[in-house]
Amino acid sequence: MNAGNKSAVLDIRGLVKAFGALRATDGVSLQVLPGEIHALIGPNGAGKTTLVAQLSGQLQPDEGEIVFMGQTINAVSAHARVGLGMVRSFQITRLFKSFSVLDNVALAVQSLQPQRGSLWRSVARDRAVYEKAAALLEEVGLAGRADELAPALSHGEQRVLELALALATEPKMLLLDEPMAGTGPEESQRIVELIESLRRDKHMAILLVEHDMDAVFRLADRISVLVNGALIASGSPEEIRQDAQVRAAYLGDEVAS
Amino acid sequence: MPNGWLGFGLAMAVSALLALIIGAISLRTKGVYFIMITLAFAQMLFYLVNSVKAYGGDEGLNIKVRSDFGLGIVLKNDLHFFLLVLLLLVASLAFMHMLMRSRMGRIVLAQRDDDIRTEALGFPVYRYQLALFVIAGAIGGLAGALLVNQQNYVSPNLMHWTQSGVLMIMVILGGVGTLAGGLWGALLMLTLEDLIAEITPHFNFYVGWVLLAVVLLAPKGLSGLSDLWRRWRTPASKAGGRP
Repeated sequence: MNAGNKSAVLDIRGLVKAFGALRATDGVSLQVLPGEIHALIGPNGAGKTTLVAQLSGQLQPDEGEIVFMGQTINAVSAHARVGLGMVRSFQITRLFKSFSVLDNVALAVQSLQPQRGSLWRSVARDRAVYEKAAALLEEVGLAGRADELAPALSHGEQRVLELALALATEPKMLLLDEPMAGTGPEESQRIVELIESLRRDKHMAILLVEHDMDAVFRLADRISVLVNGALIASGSPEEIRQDAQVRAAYLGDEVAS
Repeated sequence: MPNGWLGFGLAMAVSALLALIIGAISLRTKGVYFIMITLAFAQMLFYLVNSVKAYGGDEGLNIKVRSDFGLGIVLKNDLHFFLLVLLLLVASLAFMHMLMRSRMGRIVLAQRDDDIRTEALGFPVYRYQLALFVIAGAIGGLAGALLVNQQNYVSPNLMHWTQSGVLMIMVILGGVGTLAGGLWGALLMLTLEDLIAEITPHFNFYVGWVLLAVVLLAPKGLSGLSDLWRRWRTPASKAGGRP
């Protein structure tokens, strides 16, 4: 295992999750270091989303430990993990479809306010919240669409908004579950740049689950390969590119050239 | 219970407490399961109350004296009674209107769209749902206290599931998910009931047709119609927008 366990933002130790006879997560251990983009790749059905769901608290692991910033969080509820600073995005776009784009982000900003769920405080008085939400939309390039209803956005824009929602909660670490899912080349370029800027400007630790190999090899500091629930390799992009087992299991000829 | 403040207060408090217990269990389920488990609780209480002979059991209980609020309010006087009901209606609607526009209301609307997403933003969704369930219970208790005063009679039939059914029909007629929906739905239902009852005793048969028409033609109920009307009047209006 890696030596730098102590300083890791996220330290997963021997995680196991079984559904009946299927071991969807089979003894996974990995670390995400501060300011690092750690990519998790693997074929469909390898158990990537199951792993993310355990990290974010939607699923309980059967065995193993999830340590976030030095604290074991297995027993911490999904919403409380967000409070600790671990925030996820979703593979399937999940937006508030009856809300405007601005209201979507404003709700995420609201989650950081004192008395965030107050019955007595009107949202109409939340000018600071809306200013912050508007600034964030400016940052991700959606300012022009602030007043549209969320479903009116193009798929690529929805993916960006999905990211913006996660960002608005000011995470210390992001779990990105296929942020480029279903996007065209131009849109994924936009998302890649956004993720790059997060590492550069905010020094954010990111666990990136992604199928788009161009994006993965461009963004990742480290790559781990998940097959049938277990990690078969972990290392720098160069090491992964050269790994015979990985190429056989997954990459094929895609990056051979 | 001659003292109105005490009686109404107790009705709301007990209802809220029951809602807290029933909600804490039921809200761990979703969708059809949630409907079935709340229905099961209602049936349980229905049979429990039916079997308590000290309060009349299945025959119910006559209440000879209406609640007394002092302050010159005489509930035997129909006008006084009507004004009290109107006042409480306006107060309830104002409260719920405030709730919908509060931070809590925003979270409640969000979890209706997507509860997992709301949770992933750090909001403890279950707690807000439970709070809402308790508020609804308290308002239900208030309505119950008014109904008993109006009818001078209380019976376990009020706890039968058909009573919930009638309330659901009102909400569907008026428009699910809107504040005005409940108001319009109740108005329409009770007006229809009165009008049709003068012509034929088979009132439910005709309400059924109206309900069918609403579900098929105007899924948002009467409130949906007013939306259509507004859109037709101002074709350039923007959808959505800020609070």
